[in-house]
Amino acid sequence: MASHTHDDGSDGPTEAAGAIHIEDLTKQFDTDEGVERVFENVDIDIEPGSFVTLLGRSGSGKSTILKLVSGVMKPTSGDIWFEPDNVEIGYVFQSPRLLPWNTCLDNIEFVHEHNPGYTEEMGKEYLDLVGLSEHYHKYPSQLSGGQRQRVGIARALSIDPDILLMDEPFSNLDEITAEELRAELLSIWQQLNKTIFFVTHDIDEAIELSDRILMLGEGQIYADLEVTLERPRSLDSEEFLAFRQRAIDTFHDV
Amino acid sequence: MSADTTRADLRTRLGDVDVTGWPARVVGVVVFFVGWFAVASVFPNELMPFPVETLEVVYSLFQSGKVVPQVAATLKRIFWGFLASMFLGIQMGVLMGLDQYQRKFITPHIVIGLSAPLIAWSVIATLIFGFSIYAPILATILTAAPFIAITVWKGVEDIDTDLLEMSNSFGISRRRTIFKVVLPSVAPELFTSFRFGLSLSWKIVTITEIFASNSGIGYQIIRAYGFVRFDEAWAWAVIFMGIVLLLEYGLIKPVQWRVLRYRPDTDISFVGGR
Amino acid sequence: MSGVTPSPLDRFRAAMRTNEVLIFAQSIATVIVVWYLIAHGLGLIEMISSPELIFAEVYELLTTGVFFVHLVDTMRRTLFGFAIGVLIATPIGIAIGLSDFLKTAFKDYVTVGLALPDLLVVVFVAMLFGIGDLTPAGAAVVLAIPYMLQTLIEGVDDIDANLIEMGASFDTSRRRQLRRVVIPSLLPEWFGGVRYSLAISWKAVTLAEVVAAETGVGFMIRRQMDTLSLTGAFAWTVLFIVILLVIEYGLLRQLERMAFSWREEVSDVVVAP
Repeated sequence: MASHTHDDGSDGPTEAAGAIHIEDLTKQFDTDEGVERVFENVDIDIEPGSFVTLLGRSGSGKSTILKLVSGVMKPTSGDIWFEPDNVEIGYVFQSPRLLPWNTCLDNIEFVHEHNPGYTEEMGKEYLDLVGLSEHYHKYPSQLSGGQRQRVGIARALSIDPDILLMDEPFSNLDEITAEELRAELLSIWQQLNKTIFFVTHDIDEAIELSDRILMLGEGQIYADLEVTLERPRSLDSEEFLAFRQRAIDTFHDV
Repeated sequence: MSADTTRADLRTRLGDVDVTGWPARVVGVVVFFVGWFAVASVFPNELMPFPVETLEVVYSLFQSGKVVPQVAATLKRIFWGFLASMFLGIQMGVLMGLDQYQRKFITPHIVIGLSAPLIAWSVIATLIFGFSIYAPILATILTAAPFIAITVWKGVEDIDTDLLEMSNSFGISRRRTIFKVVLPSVAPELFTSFRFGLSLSWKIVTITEIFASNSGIGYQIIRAYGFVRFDEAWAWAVIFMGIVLLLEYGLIKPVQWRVLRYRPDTDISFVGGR
Repeated sequence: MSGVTPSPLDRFRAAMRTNEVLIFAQSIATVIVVWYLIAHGLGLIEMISSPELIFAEVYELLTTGVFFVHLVDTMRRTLFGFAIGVLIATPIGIAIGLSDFLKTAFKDYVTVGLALPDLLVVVFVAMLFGIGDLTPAGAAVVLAIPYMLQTLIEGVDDIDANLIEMGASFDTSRRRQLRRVVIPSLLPEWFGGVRYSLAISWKAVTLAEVVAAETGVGFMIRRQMDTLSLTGAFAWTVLFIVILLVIEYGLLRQLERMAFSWREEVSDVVVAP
């Protein structure tokens, strides 16, 4: 696999995963009509190596929480910290956000500013990982939506993050491509064992992928469901449908 | 390799030189010379010399060593005028793109700059600076900077903030973000402003040479016209166009191809001048 | 924002920072004031003239009617040349746009045409037609045609292929396709090209008048040069710009808006040379 050289001199991608701790988090925006409080006093603890999904309607603030975790936005009040302190965080966006004037490989190279050990081989390996071995030197305009999103995932993985933040990464894709990518994501996750903090509005997606589902609505987390089904999970199995019903009931409780 | 792939390969490697359409282009060139010949046969010879005669005059001009210093004089003015225009124009454009107030403040000046007749700026610049190199430089600035500003402004406005956010979320430094995200994003507009700034500079400098100098290509053409030595005027025109086309095909088109290469749908062999 | 109602003074201050008209006024006022101060303060009136002198000259040109006499000549030549240019270029441009062969054969013509320096064209038309109306109008024709051609060729390219396909799938006749799809599709671009050509024509005509006419705005600006009157040059320029802008924004934009209300996008801010 790719070669990252770590502080202790060892090689290879770390199997280390980070933990996320959110305490008493509040975020509000100033708008023309006044102050809008997106959510307040939110507490979330995510264990290393787990796959946790934040589920909520559009506008519930779930993407905002992700942005706060990544540091792109600052909270109004509250704390976010990680274990270990200096985690690497990879971010996958809803739309791929690739630099249109760079090839796939160069798009991966772009985020390795602080990594002197980066080589082109590494980039190629991550593109191989997401099934894009034939497309190293293609421009985003020459790729399909699903392929572009794969590059986005490869890019995030390539920095060997302890934590992967994913903001509705499959919402813009057709269902068949999305299904493929979900399966690939699970397989990659099981291979590399990173912590994944996933955001979506799709209940089926949440159940299919995660260990835990946090439901966000009305400015707070009102439910925390553990998904105990065994993987791989099929959407038409009895257990799945039963769990799904439970989840939907909880969802409508608010 | 199939014939299609070879052709596509060739096109990629040779840039925008479209080798597959060459019969048509040859037709175009032939029509030009035939047309010139035909018109020349109709009009009196002093007004419209035949191609060969013009080339003879061109040759004798080169022989007498007059060409290089005149061309150099014009080029020097263009160089400084264009440089100053780019400098000012880019700054104005960036300001306009980043700040609403600046945009609204600067826009009237842009509009004025673009609406005035070229000779107005030529005359004004000459009356201010007299018979010196500052006249064409000022005239160029007044003409080209507004256009450069408005083009750069468009480019700055169009920067994709999503990409900036992405760069930020990966902890990329400001410097790298500017060089690898901002600059490539505005490169096409920068290039357009370069291209048109240059073409405007040509035009305004040669016009200003009528009033503000006794050297340069524009001056020579007007002088030849004034002395009714039309064959000489034609010769200078040919020299002038020769240089312009050399720049156009030798510099501008290849750079344009490079800058716009990643775009999927631009017909890069025919991005004309606007 | 706090719950306090903004006072009239606050509202005015905010408007000064955002209102387009007010900022426009600020912009012009700044130039006038700075100009006046530099001219009088540093004693540079000789070199750069001064606002109040220019206003005086403008006033005189208007009240004596001198401006309008020459403006009419310039406008006449411009309209004539530009109209002929559009009439010639439109069918040719569409024809070239629709044919791949013609496009490849003549695209260099358009490239060269676009690169032609105005001065060259003016001198050569002057050589052919001498002094008078024909030279400015002719120069306008020659310089406007390449822009018109390019606009139309790109416009044809831009026609939504989906719409053509749709028409073909309903077995629409070529004539109907032309009338109901191609031409309406092209009209906005054509109009844009027309506006553009008009702008080119103004500049061509005024330049030609410097070299080969005895009346007209260009000729008068040349006169200012010969009489070393910077104030006059500024005055004529200001008047000309105002007329141009009145026509561009007052007349053409309104026409365009009315004719193309079905379009969503707004056209460009300014027409560039």
